[in-house]
Amino acid sequence: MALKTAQQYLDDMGKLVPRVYCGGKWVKNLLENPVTRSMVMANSMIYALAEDPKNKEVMVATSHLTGEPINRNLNVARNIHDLDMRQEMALLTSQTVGTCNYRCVGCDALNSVAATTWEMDRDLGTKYEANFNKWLAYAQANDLAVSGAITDAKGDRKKRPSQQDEVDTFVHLVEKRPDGIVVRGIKVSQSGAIGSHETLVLPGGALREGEEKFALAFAVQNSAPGLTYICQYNAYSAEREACGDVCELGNPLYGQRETSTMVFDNVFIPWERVFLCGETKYCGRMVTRFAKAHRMNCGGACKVGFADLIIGGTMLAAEYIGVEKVPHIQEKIIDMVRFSETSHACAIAAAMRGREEPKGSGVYLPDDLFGNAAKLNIAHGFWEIIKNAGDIGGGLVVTMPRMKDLDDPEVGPMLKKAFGAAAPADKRMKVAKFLQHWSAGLHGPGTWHGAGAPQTQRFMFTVLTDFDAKKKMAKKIMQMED
Amino acid sequence: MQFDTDEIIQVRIGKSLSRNYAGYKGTFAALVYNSLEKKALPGFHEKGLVAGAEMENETLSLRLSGNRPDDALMEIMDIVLRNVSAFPREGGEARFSITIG
Repeated sequence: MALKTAQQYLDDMGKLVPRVYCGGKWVKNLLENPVTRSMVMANSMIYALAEDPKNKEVMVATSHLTGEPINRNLNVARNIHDLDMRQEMALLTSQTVGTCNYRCVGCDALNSVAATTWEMDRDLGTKYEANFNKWLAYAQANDLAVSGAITDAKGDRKKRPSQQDEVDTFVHLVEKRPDGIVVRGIKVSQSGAIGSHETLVLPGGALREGEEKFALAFAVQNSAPGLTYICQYNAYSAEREACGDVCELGNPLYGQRETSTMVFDNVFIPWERVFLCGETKYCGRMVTRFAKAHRMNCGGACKVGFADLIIGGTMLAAEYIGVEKVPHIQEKIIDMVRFSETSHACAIAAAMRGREEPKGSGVYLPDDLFGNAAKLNIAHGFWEIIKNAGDIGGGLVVTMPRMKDLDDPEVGPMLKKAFGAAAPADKRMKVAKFLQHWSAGLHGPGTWHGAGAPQTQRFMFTVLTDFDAKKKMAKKIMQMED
Repeated sequence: MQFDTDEIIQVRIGKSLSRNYAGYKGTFAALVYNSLEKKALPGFHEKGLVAGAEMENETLSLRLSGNRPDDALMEIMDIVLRNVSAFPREGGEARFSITIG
C-alpha cells in the first residue's frame, strides 16, 4: 500500500492514543474531542485529496527510493518540477481545508534531513542517510502522516542552551544506549503531531561546539511513552467545545490551526530513527534548509490559499449587502489579490530557480531569496488582506449574535429583520462568521510567525543580497569613478 | 530499489492466539525499553498496566495487570503495536516475539 485512503487514515487514528491534554482535560479519543477532531479531519482531507485522480500531478509523486507512487507529503524533491508541485500542493491543501496541512512541516523537514544526512555521510562517514532512507521508505510504503517539530521552548534568549536554568527548554540527549538514545526537553508551537503517525524532530537552530547534547534529529512515534502533548487553547477552542453544532463555526470541519507543546520526558528513540546526534556543525544547515523549503511553501503558497478563501468570503459579504460594484470596494478586493498573488509569484520563482543542494545529493531546494521574499511579503500582506476583509465585511464580522439564535422563536424574527439585506440574514451571518474566523482569529499572528518571524527573512535578505553589485551598477550608469 | 525496513514481531497470547505485525526497524527495541525501563506501553498512559516484563532470546514476556480474556489482551496489543506505526502482517518470519501472560 503506497497511498492510504482517508478512511484508512481515520481508522489508524481511531487506534492511536497519544497522551494529549486539551483545555483542562486528558483526551481519550482524538475523534471524540471536538478540538482534536478538527485537526484529524483536516489531515484526513489531505489523504482524500491524493485519492482524487484530478489532483494526481499535485498530490502524488514517485518515490526516488522505490519508484512507487507516494503521497507528495513524503516526497524528497529531485527536480524543479517536484519543487513546483510541492508549492502547488500547499496552495491546494490550504484552499481545501482552510487550515494547516498538518503533514506540510514534516515534508519540508524530511527534505532538509535528506540533504543534510547525505552531506554528513559524505563528510564524516556516518550512516545517517542510510537510516533516513530506510525510515522514509517505510513511511512512504505505509503512507504515514509525518509532522515536524522544530522550535524549542528556548527559555532565556540571552543564554545559550547549555546556560539555561531549565535545560529542558531545549530538547537534548540524556543517554546513549546500544539500541538507541533517550531524549528529553520541550518543543513548542508544533502543528498536528497529535494526529500524525510520526513526528520528525529537528534541532531548533544553529549550535556550537560544546552543545553536542542539543544536536539531535530523529523520528518519534506518536504515542511513545514519555511524550505528552499539551494543546493550544483559546476562545475558538472553547467555542468549538461549547457550540453543540460545528456548523455555527467559521471553519466547521477543520477549525483554526491546532498546535501543541510537545514534552519529551526521557523518550527512547531507536538508532534506526536517529538522523543526527551530536554533529553541531550540521544543525544550522539542517534548520536553514528546512526554512528554505518552508518559506516557499508556507509563505508563498499555503497563505495564498487562505487568501483565496478570504477574498471569496469578502466578495460574498459585499454582494450580500449590495456594495459589490462600489469602486472603493472593488479596489480593496484588487489589493487583496495583489498581495496574495505577488507572494505566490515569489513561491513559483523560488521553485523555478531551485537547485540541487548539496551538489551530488540529488535533493532539490527552492531559491532562498525568492522563498524569503514570498514569506516576508505575505507576512505583511496578510494583515492587509484581513484588514480589507474586516473593512468590507463590516462590523457584523465581530458583532454578530450566534447563528443558532436565528432559530429562536422570540429573537429569531428580530435578527432576520435586522440582518436581512441583499441576501437573507442566515447567509450574511454565515459569511460574517467565516470572515471572523480569519480576521479576528489566530491566522494573523500565525502567518506572521509561521516559517519564522519576518525579522529572520529581513536578516536573510541582508545575507543573500549583493548590495555591492547594486552600488557598482549605479556608479557605472552615473559614470562615477571608484 | 529494495529497502530492508521491516521487522516482524509476533504477538502470542496463550497457546492458540497469535498475530504478526510489521514495524520499522527498532520498533521491538522501543517496546523492550519501554516495558523494562518505564513499565509502560504505547497508547496506554495509566500506570500499572505492565505488572511484569522480562526479556530473553528476542522474546519479550509481558504480564499485564487484571484478569483479561485472551481476545481482550490481543486488542490491547493491537493498540500498542499500531501506536508505534506497526501494522498487522499476514505471514513473514518473525524475528521477535512478545508473549503475554
